[in-house]
Amino acid sequence: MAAAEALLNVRNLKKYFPIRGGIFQRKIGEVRAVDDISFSIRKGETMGLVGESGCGKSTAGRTILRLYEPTAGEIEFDGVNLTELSPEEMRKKRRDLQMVFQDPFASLNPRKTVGQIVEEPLIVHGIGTPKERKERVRELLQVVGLDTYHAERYPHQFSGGQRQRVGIARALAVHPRLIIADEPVSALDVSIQSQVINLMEDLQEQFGLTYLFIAHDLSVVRHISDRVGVMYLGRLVELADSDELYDEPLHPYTKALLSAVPIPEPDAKRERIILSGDLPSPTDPPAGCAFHTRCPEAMDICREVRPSFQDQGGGHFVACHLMTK
Amino acid sequence: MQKSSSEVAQKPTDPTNPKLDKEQRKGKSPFQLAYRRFVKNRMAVVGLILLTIIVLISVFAPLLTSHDPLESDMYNIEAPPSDEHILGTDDMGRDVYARLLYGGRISLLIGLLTMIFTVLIGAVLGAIAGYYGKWIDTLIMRFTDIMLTFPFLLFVLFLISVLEETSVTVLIVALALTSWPTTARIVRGVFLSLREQEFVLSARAIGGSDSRLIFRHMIPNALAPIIVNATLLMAVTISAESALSFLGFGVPQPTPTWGNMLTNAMNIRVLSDQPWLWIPPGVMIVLAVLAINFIGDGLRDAFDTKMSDNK
Repeated sequence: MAAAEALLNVRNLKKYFPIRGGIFQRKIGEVRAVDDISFSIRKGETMGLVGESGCGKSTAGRTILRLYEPTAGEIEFDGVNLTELSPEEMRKKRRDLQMVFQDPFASLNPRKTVGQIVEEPLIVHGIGTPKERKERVRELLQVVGLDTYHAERYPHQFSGGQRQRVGIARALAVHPRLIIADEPVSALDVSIQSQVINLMEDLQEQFGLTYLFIAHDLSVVRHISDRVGVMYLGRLVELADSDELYDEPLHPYTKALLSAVPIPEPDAKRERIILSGDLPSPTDPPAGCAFHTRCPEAMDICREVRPSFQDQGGGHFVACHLMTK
Repeated sequence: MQKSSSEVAQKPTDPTNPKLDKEQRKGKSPFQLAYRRFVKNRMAVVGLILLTIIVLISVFAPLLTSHDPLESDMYNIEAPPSDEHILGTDDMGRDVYARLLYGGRISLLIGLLTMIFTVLIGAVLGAIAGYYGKWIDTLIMRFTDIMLTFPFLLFVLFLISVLEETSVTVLIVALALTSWPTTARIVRGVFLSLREQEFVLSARAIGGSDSRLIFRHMIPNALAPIIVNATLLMAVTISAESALSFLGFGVPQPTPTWGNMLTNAMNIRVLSDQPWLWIPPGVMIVLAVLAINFIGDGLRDAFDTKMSDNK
């Protein structure tokens, strides 16, 4: 797997949202939602992206698709730098990059039938005749485990899990190569979560898809991901193969995060790392390492110098001064 | 291809199941659901029936009276209701019943056309402001604010006195120019919230163009508040037309409208001795405005999905 070439290369991606105020709506500050992240995803793999609420993982996903214009950085998809494409070129490029959204109740247009929703990407990209498209919609609905007659129904007649299947069918319609799944299961019941995740895994195998899987549920991410990146306050703090990350986390934040995952064994003994303090505001992130305000092992250097994101061997990246002591 | 996914699929219902008839399989669109809620609303249905009757008697006025609304019957000036003139005649000997029916045409036409123009101007400006945001939004909305600060009646009186003569067209333009800002604000507000909805974002993610986003995704979802606003606007316009005509700034005589038929009531003698001249148009205005308001309220409730179905 390590030999496979990269499909997506993200370099120094930043997304700052301006805060405006005053009478003239001057810029009075900015939210550093995504603050200089770099990673790559190989063809056919699933990369997980985890972090607390508000750490910028969803923003990162949306910025990669240029649903938000990046403030700085490069997004190289299959050799093409997406940030340099004109809006029209980008619109056409979207055929290769699709997205599955978090909230299945909000991501489907309530005034369209499921058939129209799934068909829309095909229309937008001018694929097939109306008859062929209808046929493809039926096929897609079956692929995601819905019935063909569901095409005539409206989203409000479906359950959350079914709607998420519709969202997946829509993303699959144009044979994309990369699917960014933004917390696709966090709005669903646990029993439905596994169904949707299994479906996504099956589809990956069937169509050779590459996933960027954004979630805050660590066990879900471990299950589906080949590699996992951990974000904190807009920055990637650790990135490694998923087994390695879960077994041997290096960054203090990852350790704390993993210690919070419940173990389904009542007698299991383990150390629970409890972080003190609150998440700092991304409008005014701490100097140096963003995590130093809450880090149990913070040193002087952490307060001054931002640690670089370095490979500790075997593709295990960490941004922490403890590693470079 | 199906094999792997059918394992994880929920047990699919048999599409050939006879119990599942076509009606059940086919979904009900939000508009169909709204229609059902509307029909259950008694006041709204009464309003709709009333308005339909008013529209029908105005449209088919020639069939309901043999009198010309402009023709004077010199032998019967200011005649009280009789077999010949059901609602009497006015000071020029014109048949009040005929004028009432034909007057409805003008009053309703003004209401309808003004509503259409207002919604067109307001919806387009509001949609542009809400969708593009930033300086475009600021520009359009500040202009809207300025328009809103003009007192409506004063603005219309000013416009009409500048143009010196009034006609139905002038009146429609004047009314539309003064009433679009409210619509623009409503549409902009709806667009601002729609813009952040995930389904709009998802339409962009699949590669939809700006115009596709606006016309296929956002406008259909903004339609409900626009329709409600438009309906209520029509009621306001009809009463505004009456008010202007009553003041003598509306549609000029001899063209009958409900508003300028009321002008007679300015005369104290008419007011006390000849009620057939002003009661009928007054009643028609009240009924039309009331009916439209009931319909508007009914539509608002019907489109409001937060209301329970069985109310």
